[in-house]
Amino acid sequence: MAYALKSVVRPASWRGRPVTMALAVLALAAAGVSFLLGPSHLSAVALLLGLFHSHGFAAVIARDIRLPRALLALFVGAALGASGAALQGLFRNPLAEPGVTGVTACAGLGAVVALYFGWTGTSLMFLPGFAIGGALVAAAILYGLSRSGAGTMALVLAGVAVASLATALTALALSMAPNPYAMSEMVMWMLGSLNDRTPADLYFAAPLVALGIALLLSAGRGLDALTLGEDAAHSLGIDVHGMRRRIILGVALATGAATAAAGAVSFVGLVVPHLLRPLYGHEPSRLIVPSALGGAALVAAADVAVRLIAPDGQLLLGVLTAMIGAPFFIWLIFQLRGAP
Amino acid sequence: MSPALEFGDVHLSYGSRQVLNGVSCSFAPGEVTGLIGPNGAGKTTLLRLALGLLTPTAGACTLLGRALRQWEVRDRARALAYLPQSNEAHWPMLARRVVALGRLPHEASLERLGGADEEAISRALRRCDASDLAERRMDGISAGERARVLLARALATEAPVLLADEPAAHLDPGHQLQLMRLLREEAGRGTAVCVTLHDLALAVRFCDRLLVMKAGRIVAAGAPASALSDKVLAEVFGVGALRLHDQGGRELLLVRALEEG
Repeated sequence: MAYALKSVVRPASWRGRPVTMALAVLALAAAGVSFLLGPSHLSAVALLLGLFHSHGFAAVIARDIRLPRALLALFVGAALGASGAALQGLFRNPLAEPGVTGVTACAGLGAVVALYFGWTGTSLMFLPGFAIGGALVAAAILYGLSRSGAGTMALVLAGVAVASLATALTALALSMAPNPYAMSEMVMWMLGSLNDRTPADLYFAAPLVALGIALLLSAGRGLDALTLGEDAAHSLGIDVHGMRRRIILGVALATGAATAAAGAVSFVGLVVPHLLRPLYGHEPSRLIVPSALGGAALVAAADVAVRLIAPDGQLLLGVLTAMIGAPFFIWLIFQLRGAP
Repeated sequence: MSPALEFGDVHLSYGSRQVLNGVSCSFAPGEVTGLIGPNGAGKTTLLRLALGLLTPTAGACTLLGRALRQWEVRDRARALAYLPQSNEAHWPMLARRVVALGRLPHEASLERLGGADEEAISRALRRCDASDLAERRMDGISAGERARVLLARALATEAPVLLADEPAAHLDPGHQLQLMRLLREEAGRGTAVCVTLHDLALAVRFCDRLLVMKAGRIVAAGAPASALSDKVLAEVFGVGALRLHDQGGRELLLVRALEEG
């Protein structure tokens, strides 16, 4: 298999910690810039002071608009990055990713169904619940397919089919729902955006994303063992089925919650783990935390970029990530040609 | 010496298909036991039973004197190392880190390797003549080198029983001989080595004992020369053989088509 950044080989003693630290700093910096960026002309000092006040204009802007948006970008990116790293480890395939495999599209469908048929009025948890349910269905389909010995291309094609179906059903649901803004809403769910997020979005997404990533981390040793194949992993005392269930549930929780909050942001889970993998010795377990940090940095930075490029909110987050990610995806397929 | 691994009248069927039909055999410490037979004879099934990946329909599997199903998963993983047929690591990790995976049964993880783990890893690499490959990436070494690293991974567990599934497949003759020699050396340290082989010449040359399987049964067992009689060769494999002896008096087998006989 051909791998990018072949030159960046490190000895085993090099643990990658400085890179992990740098990624964390990068993510926080991007979130900081995101916090300071917006249409209201408040100074950085006024905004920071606003964080510590319970009322007033600056407090509303800082606490209800800017901070949720900046933090949501981090959580959404972390969910997608970690999910991508874990799925790639599980399928032993660098093309596996929540977006490519249709997991985000199905999560988006779940969210739209919950939102536009009024069930969210019953309980705040219906929206993420449906999104996670959608993600779980897509992940289970993939899992069944990979169990039956499907190769890389079958996995990708199935992902395309699942994603297309979910997107079509999302469009159908929005058209049928009593919703005057169906078209613009549709675009938001399919491409992903952090425009006009509220603290409520953050409150439901953050714990679910954290729980999902914790599940993924708990499967790290198993992912390492899986490098040798399923039977060998079993012989090393790994509960392969249990590990697989944990990863699928973790990905569904993290990606489902992220998608319920921000729509289907694609390709983050593909690009980030792939770029970081050589820096962590290609070891699946070591890649999960850096991928979460890298994803957080990328989404926060992309959310800054969309507002710098189009301050009126016309450029959606997912458009930017797809513009970076899709060409990367094609390049990666070229790299993988001829691989088993 | 009591056997390390033992199968007693084991039956296994998938639906109506009988895969194993009353297999009884044992694997002794310090011996290389070759499991041979045509494709579909049940060799790999027997290994998967020992690993606990399959459960027999009837019969008993015993590991180190205790019924296999009574073993805790982690204890079993420490007692039984398995070298799968695939000669690949799915990610191009450093060889030493791949070998480190053999320490997972010892409550280690790649992020947490103790002094004993590091020593076992170095020892396994040394025993497989792979110390100089430790800092190389798995995609940057030859197939023969990769086979040695993967054997070192299995040895790093330091289990008393080693199961190897077709370790010589995909290797050129020089590396085949080297790998079989390494398995012999491991048996010399007291490990019970069970190896499935397609190459009858390798089986005769390197195994202490052979178990010949056909259609889910063991049809011949014993020292290589006696287990692989002309009759067994003809019935099981449909081949004949030319038997030679080297200077040490060890029998060598040259397989040939029956009509050449």
